[in-house]
Amino acid sequence: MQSHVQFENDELLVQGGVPVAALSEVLTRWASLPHLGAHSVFLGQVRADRHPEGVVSAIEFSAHESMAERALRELAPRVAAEHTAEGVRVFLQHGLGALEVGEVPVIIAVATGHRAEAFAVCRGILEALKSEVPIYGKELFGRQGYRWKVNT
Amino acid sequence: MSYEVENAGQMTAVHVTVFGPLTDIFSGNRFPATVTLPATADELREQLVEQYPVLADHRFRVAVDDVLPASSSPVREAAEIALLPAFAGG
Repeated sequence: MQSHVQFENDELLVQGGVPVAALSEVLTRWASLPHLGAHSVFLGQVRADRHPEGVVSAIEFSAHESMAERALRELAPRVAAEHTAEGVRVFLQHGLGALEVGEVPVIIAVATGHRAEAFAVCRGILEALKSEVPIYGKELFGRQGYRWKVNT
Repeated sequence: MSYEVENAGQMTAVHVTVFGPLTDIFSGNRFPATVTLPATADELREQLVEQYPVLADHRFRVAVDDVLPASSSPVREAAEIALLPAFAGG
């Protein structure tokens, strides 16, 4: 079963970090929809992880873009259906290219009628994104060295 | 002889694109290969490993024309093959 989910954005993959200002615009739009009562937002930020090889200065994201775009578009309705959430609004965007520490590779914003569905769908989309979408991250250590990001 | 021809399958030239950690082992991220179809995803992997033995040391899934085929169902046509290591988005 697929429940109806309305995306707020057409581009699910963007070059560079996801612009945080986009979130503000979406929240303003959602304020005018009377059936909504709960928003849940996940915003990922590039972290300066310490590894034996060095400290992460940036992550260079790449993707099998056509597959990733389709997978991103398909997973939100499926996750919403799993939580029997209806009338769900979603903003979902992932960045590509080199993003420095502090930049935002992903924003997932979910609006529903009630908090339990909002939390569950937002988290479900994030977990599905990590395991089902062909996106890769090369963790760069300044100008020297890198390692491939591994999702745990 | 005719028996062998019937069971030989169809030789198909494909483009193979690699992603993520696999880009470390191929210069340019794309290379040509020839596969015999129909074949399952596992059989495609074996055919590619035979042509590029360096792939044997890596874990990846085989996507055919932007789809991840079910492991048991035979792929009959292929133009683009993508080798996808474990995903790391988010």
